Amino acid sequence: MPALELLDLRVVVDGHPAVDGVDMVVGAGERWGLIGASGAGKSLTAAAVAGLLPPAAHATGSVRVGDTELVGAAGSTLQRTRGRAVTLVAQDSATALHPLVPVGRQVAAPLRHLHGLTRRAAATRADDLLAEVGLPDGTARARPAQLSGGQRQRVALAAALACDADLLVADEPTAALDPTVARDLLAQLDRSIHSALLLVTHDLTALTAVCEHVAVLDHGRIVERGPVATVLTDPQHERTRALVDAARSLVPRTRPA
Amino acid sequence: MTPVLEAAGLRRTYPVPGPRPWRRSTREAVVDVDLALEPERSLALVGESGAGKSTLLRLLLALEVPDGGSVRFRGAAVTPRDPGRLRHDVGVVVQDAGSSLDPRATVRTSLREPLECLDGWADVDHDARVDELLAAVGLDPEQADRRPHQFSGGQRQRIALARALIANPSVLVVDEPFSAVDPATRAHLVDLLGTLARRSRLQLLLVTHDLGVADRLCDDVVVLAHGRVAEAGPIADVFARPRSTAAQDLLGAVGRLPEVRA
Repeated sequence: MPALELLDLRVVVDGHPAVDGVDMVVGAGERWGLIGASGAGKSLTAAAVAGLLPPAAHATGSVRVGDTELVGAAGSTLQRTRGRAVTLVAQDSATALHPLVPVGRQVAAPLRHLHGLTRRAAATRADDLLAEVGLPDGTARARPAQLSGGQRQRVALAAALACDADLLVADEPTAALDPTVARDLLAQLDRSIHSALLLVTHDLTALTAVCEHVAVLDHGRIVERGPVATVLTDPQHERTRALVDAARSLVPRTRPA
Repeated sequence: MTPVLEAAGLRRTYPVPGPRPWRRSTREAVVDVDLALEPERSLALVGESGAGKSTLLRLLLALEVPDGGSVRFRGAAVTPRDPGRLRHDVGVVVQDAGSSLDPRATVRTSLREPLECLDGWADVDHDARVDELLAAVGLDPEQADRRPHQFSGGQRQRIALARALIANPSVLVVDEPFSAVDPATRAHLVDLLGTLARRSRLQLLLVTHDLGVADRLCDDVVVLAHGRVAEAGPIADVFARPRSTAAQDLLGAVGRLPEVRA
């Protein structure tokens, strides 16, 4: 069973078709990137997949995560799906994490509520997960404001890994980070993820670092898809070509041998 | 030749809360920085967040008094109290420039303001100059009477660029150019900046952590780390053979794209 199946997904916001008929299959364990210019519909597609569409958005078509249909599903179904079947790493963990709760407890929460671990077992496992994403000992006791942006994104990643869902959606996880910090986080993402991944990004170097497949969105439709290496070296659609040319023009020409 | 903008031994320390409330502690944001914007060359100031780039920029623009050292513009010492020609000859595009526009003012009003404040523009038709600059940055002069919220993020960046250029500066300072827009828009804006700089013989001073932008637009680079100059020199040399750990780290973090086979 694929981790994710989108069938003619349409999302209308304020009468405007932001996602306009997207078909996409993410097989179990596959890593897909979703790229496109601002306003192409990337984040709304990700939100639909994560069961987190804003109330103003109206979705039709089908979003199947595992064996659950999310379009038109009841709130209780969405709630059951989030964390269990699909989990999200948001762009800005400064607002995604609870500001007052020590991060160890935030990572432990899904372990207790989804997987039924005891408080003690969950705390131990949370410590392991925080260590696994490269955070120093004692991070569990810190609150989000005491950590750097890169450390907070690692906490968000640890919390997502704690859910152990079959599909992880990451919406621009490195957009708010310094280049060196972003590189380290992407390497961590690459090492830690064993589930299927949908990475929403406009950074083609992030795509290259983590994903095998890519779909290109333009005006709410997928205009091109395929293996990352093929699409980025031999883009067929003019939108893809524009994105690739822009990305190549912003990579330094001179660099150490 | 005298550098256009020169810093010697610049130093700036900020008070920070110490381990105990009654024990004050300080943080050195900029330490003994020497740098020079040489005539007819463009300079990139690169470094990670917290390296001291923004503090150094505020000192260079005479917006803040250094704790030590001095800043000279065309050979004359500048201070916040006496910035000399600096305010007239240096245009600035601040970080997240799109949101630096007054939301209540029309674009025309925002762009006219520098002309009204600075010397030498009394005899010039301000509206014609506004139209000229909007056209130069690729916007329709017909839209000058709109307000910022009626433009996209990329267009607002262009408006901020037009405002920085309106009084015909010889140096343009850009803090984190176009970091708030998507890569395709950023590539367009970087090209536009390069074209404008060449056309009007404008020297650029860029503050950035995007080495691609620095490489495209500048001749020289200063790499900052922990408030100090880790390495400086022509970009081609520094990027090809970085000697400092700071420069090596920054270059090592540059993402890769699949190589196109010929």
